[in-house]
Amino acid sequence: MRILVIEDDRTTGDYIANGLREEGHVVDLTRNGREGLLTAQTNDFDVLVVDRMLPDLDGLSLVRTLRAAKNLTPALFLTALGGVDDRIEGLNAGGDDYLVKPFAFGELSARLAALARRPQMRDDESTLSAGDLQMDLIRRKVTRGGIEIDLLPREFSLLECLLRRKGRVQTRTMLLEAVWELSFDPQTNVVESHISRLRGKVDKPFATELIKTVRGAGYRIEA
Amino acid sequence: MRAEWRDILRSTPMRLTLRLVALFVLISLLTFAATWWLANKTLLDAAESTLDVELDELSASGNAAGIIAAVNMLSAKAEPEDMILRYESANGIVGNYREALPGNGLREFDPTDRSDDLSDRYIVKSRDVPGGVLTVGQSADAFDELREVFGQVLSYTLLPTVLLVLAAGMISARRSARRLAAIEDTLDRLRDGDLSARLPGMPGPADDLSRVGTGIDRLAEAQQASTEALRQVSADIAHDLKTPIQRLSVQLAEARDELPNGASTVALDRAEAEVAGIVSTFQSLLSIAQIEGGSPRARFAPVDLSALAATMAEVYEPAAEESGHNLRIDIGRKAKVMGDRALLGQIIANLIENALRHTPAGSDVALTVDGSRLTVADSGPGIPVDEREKVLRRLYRLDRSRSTPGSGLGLSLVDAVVKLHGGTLELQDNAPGLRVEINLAET
Repeated sequence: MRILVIEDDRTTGDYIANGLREEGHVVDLTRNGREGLLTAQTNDFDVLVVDRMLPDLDGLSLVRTLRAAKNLTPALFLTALGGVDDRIEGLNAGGDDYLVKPFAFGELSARLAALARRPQMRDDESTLSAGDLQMDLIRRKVTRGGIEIDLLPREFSLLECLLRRKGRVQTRTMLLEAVWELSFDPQTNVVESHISRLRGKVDKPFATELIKTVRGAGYRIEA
Repeated sequence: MRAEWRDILRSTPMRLTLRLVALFVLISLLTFAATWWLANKTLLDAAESTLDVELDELSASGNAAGIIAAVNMLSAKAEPEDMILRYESANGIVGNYREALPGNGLREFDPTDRSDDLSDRYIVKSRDVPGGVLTVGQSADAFDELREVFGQVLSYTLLPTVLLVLAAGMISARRSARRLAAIEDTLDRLRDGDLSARLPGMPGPADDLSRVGTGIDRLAEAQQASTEALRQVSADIAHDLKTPIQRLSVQLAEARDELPNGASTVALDRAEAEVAGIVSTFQSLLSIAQIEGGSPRARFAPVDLSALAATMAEVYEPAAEESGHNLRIDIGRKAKVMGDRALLGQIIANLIENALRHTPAGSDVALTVDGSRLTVADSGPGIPVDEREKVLRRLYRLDRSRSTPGSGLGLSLVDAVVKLHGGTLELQDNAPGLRVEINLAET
């Protein structure tokens, strides 16, 4: 992917840029709002990472200006604040996602992957699969190696969420948002506990592990 | 509509109008009464002098026979409708009116005999003359005409004036009611945290109401400016503190990458946990500050409290099981509350986490929703009565929470969110354990 990072703090900016480059992305890094706006307007990026507080032109105005000029490149805001107000302000300005500082690189990387434009998954799919695991979305049945696995409704949703984004990391907060429609900040390992139950049914009885933990980020089912 | 009219009747302009109308009617009636009395007296005086002349002439002879002759002569000429004559003496009654005519002196008289020849009313005067009592009466038609004219003047001037003034009062009351409604609406929005609310261009003249409106606008402007300044300050502080924290966690991540294979990561893990703790405390403080700013109320929507609680219980159920807790949920009557779903979800999470964190394995944690009442009760050690007030205090918590895991701001945040929703928070004895009861307002 081609990614534009607009972040005034040198350490954070370099960290994001280097991390994304290591993952194989092409990264442009600018350190102030005006320059960032110019770069975003004159190049074609897959996704933008925009700090909300920038010298010259703040992140909200930057994205608002882009949207006014019909530039719809997905944008993720980085913010020091984390209130509900700020979140809504960001989304109203035309942002697509929102990450509160300090963040783990894994969270950023997973969210960018989810944001970037990509071929839409077909909605009419009736089965999802990974390795020897099959999910029948109509009969709501899961089998692995021909053996039927009995899942509770939320376990089914959790597995479906991972399968639909096969090969990409889903962070804990992304899973909370997708499966339970909750955006809150748990201090307890709630998602881990759900994953561990799901693993007990989907992975434990079998030879290979499908649901992988990605350190500092979340979970992934390999494509 | 009914309520609107009642409001209009109660409004200041309408009350002023009614008061003025009452005063106007009173003054008008007094003036009319005085005029009426004066006119009546003049007419009566005139009538009396006419009657006196007649009486003088009729009794000029000074003896009964002469008076009878004079009365008979005049009776033959006079129409009873205009004038009645009556002489009562020892010899009987003569004149054109011979029925009883009680009383004496000057007076009004309604003849009991309703014949066509007679007027309805007469002004009569009786005088003792030689031989008997002489009475002369003249028709009171002039008085009745006067009364009629007065009645007409009264109804042609007073009634339309009163009706017109009342209508004008009602119209101006409605207009000022509309302006007041705009003011009330703006105040409501300001109270709900929409500090950008201003009075729409006040219709009507530059009067006391528009001065009040301008005052409200200025107040809101000042309030918005200071809130904005406060928000800017907290944004600046957040930015200036979080950037180094971000750098710190970046450096920790890089340090981890540079560790030789097999080296112990215990120190790094501990440092990362510290950073997470700082972030969490900082985030809670920021959230409380923002919530106490009150602005999110403008966004409130109906939230299904029981469904939200059920979701939170489901989210925490495996984690509770792992820590050996027995998490239960009881849903009674279902109800919606006006609020912010994310914040309400966060307080349920905080309460469950508090219960899980501060009670030993094997404890029960019960989440109950009944209507707009939410309770989280545990069977742990509870909080001593004299400390219940204190745990809601932020600084006290901060001080104490150094020795316990978590941000230590959980209950303060819950308290702030409940207050934002206009609800109440109570810490009770669950005997044993702590029972947190929250009462919110139903939609």
